[in-house]
Amino acid sequence: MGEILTMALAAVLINNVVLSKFLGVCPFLGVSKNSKSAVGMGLAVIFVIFGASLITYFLYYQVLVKMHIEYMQLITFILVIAAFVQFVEMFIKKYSASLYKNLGIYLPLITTNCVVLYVAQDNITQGYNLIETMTNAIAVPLGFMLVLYLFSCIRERLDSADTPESFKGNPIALVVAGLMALAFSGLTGIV
Amino acid sequence: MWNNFKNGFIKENPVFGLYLGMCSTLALSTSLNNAIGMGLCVTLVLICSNVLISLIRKITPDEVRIPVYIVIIATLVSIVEMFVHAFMPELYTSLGVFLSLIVVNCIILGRAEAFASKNGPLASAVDGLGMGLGYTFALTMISLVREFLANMSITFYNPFNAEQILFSFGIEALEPFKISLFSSSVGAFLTFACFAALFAVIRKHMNKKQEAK
Amino acid sequence: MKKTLSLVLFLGIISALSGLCIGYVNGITEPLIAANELASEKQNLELMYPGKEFITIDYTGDDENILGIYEVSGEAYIVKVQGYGYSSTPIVALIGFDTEGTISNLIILSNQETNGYGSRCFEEEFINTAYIGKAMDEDVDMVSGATLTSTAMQNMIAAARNAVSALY
Repeated sequence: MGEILTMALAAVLINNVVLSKFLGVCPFLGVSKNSKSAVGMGLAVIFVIFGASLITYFLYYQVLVKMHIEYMQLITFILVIAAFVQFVEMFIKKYSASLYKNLGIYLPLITTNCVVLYVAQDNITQGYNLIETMTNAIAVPLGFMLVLYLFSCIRERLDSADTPESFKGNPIALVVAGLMALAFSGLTGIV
Repeated sequence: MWNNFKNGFIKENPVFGLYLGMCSTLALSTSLNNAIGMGLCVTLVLICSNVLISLIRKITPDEVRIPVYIVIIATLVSIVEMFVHAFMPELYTSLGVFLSLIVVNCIILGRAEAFASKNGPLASAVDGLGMGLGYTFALTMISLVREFLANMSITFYNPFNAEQILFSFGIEALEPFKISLFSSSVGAFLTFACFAALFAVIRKHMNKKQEAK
Repeated sequence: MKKTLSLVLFLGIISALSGLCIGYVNGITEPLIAANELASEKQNLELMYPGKEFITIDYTGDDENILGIYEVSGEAYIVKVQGYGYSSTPIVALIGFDTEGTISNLIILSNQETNGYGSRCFEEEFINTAYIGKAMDEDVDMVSGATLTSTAMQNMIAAARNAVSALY
């Protein structure tokens, strides 16, 4: 249990996907204009990564390894992720209009979010078992959501700040991201 | 066609202008070798995927075009990954997971959807080359700044044989002033931000000139 | 219905073609990759026994921490072994045993243990006194203040001894 908690804490704070591994930077800049959509996107990402990780885990060990076609890993995983996202979108569109309004709009963006493919592949390359896979699949996107939320709160205030003309928009946001990375690097060593 | 090609560098530079493919740009700009290696891999995949997608654009049903593009891109990336693993093991280790993450690099799917699905194979190839080199150019610029500030020297080794150093440049007097921050993620974000601002200024200047004409 | 079928068929054909391509390329590159991996392992083995010939021995046991066993023609065995200490990234080491099973050589290939604490287990002086020269049944020393790393090293040595003892 202790190991699992350590692993989760490390994935959320120390090896944060966005700030130390540079994954998911595109949605990090794109969907962080206000904190409400940041939370929505974060929740959608957690859900998709958890589902996609479980499916790819079983598919890899039960199908690809048994048929000795491990080299088809990449193509299988990306197709599974794309199909899963599509399916979830159709499902919640049909059964919950309010959920669709809150999460649905972010779903199409998730297929090209590299965090999803990264987590699916990482579970395999690290040789995680089922419990570790599930922990990883929750902790990593949780770290994504945390940083996305914090970042969006800063950005809401950034709009009214007096920034130099050429730094307006994305460049100043990147400077802020750099400072956040600096702050998070102070957490190295707690686990 | 020449204009298409040129656009990829400054005006519509995929990285600084359109903010695409940022993950790999930030992560792999630590050294010149990584930057050029990754840039060329992306360019190769981009040209091939653009040509293939443009060739089958008339027989691809509209409803399944995105999955088809993804399958084609994933295939090309797998192939490139295997070749790099076999012939350039050093590069393979340092590019790590980002090599397979080319699949989800927005530049490639973006160009497939925006350009290759509407144009002929030759134009698509040129577009792929321009965009790919634009990406490589951005990655190289950032990596030069970061590698120099972090080590006060720049080395470039032969990707096929890591022990053979092709080119090396360093200022010994500056050795004590290394800023190792620039090899970490903080340096990546800051360098990127400065370049993005610089390109915003250049773009504005160019637009003004065009209006004046 | 007919439309859906043709869409699925199209996607299926594309996927099958891609599968064929990847399979073909994999056939070409797989032996090259395996050869490369052996060559880079050789470099590490050379550090321990310079200028010797190495033979890879198949490990038949079920300890997943044993990463490989090599024989140095007639004079020693080298075991590549991993273990978990303080960090979630494993410590990887090569441990050399002479013909009597005494530890004759030990190098750490990679570790992410805490600098100044766990890393004291890997200092050359410590390796030379605590591990090298210990016979099969002798205990190895611990570092106070680096319990997790020391224990990991103990476990790795025990696992390596276990794997090697089957070969004598």
